[in-house]
Amino acid sequence: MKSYYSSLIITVMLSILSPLSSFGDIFTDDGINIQFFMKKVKKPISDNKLMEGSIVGIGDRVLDKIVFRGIRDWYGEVDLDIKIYKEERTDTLELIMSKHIQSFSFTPKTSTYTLPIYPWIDDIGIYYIEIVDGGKKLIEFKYEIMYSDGEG
Amino acid sequence: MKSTYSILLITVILMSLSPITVLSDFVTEDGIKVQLFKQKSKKPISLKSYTKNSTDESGFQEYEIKVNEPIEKIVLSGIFEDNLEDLPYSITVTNVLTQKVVLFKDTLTFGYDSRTYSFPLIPWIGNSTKIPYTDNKGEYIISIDKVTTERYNEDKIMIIKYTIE
Repeated sequence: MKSYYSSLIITVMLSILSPLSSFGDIFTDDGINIQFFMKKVKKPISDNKLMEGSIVGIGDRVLDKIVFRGIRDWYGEVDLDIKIYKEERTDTLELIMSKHIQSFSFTPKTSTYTLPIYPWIDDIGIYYIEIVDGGKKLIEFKYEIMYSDGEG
Repeated sequence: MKSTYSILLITVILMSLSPITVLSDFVTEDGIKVQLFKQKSKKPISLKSYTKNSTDESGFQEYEIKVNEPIEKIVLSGIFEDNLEDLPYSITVTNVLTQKVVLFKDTLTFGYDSRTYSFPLIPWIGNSTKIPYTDNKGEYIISIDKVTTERYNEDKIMIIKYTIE
């Protein structure tokens, strides 16, 4: 009986925790999944890390790309703004990359839309990446590229 | 004797024609080669595809190109000989309609190691898919500038007006 309760508790806990596995992703209202990848890493950066507000790149471990993926059949207009700013020495932000996606076919078969970040951004410095969906800020985080060992 | 003259004549003609091969690339006064590549093409877009708008005494060059499909990448390489100083440049791609910077990179150096940079333009400009989405079209300016110590005082050395029709 005790083991039954134990397994029940474990099952309940797992079912509560299971949505956390999807926390590795960010979704728009239209069901577009947004993932950020570092170079030479197959798994996307976890949502928890992104929600902390900052990620760090060192040496070869820098941000490689942003991937947009459709999670259901859908074609139509979207209103996605991707903006990347660089912090200048004068503490001002300069817009260095921007993309407005206004129409795309997000179907599971032909859905992937990849925005390469590297090699446009590979210099040491502080960057801010934001994605706005229909005027609503979906995510914003700081991306800092630091010196690797032997540099600087 | 006649054949010797013929060979000599052909050789002279070929030698005089050889610089034309260089003309298939943009080369700035500072010795930076600029090449644009179409999708799935190994050869750069021929110089004949561009309209030359202007060149001034300082070496500044302005070109224009209109394409039906977006260009995949831009490649910049230094063709300096050794023992020249590293020279810093920036590349900026601006959307003419929105006046927004689409792409920017300010730490390009050419010189000692004659570096080559290959930057993807798709899908930052246009889209990789063949479907004619509206965000494929537009007018852009690709500007290559020499970076000076004074910010906002960059020397423009080359501009390519790039239109996706």
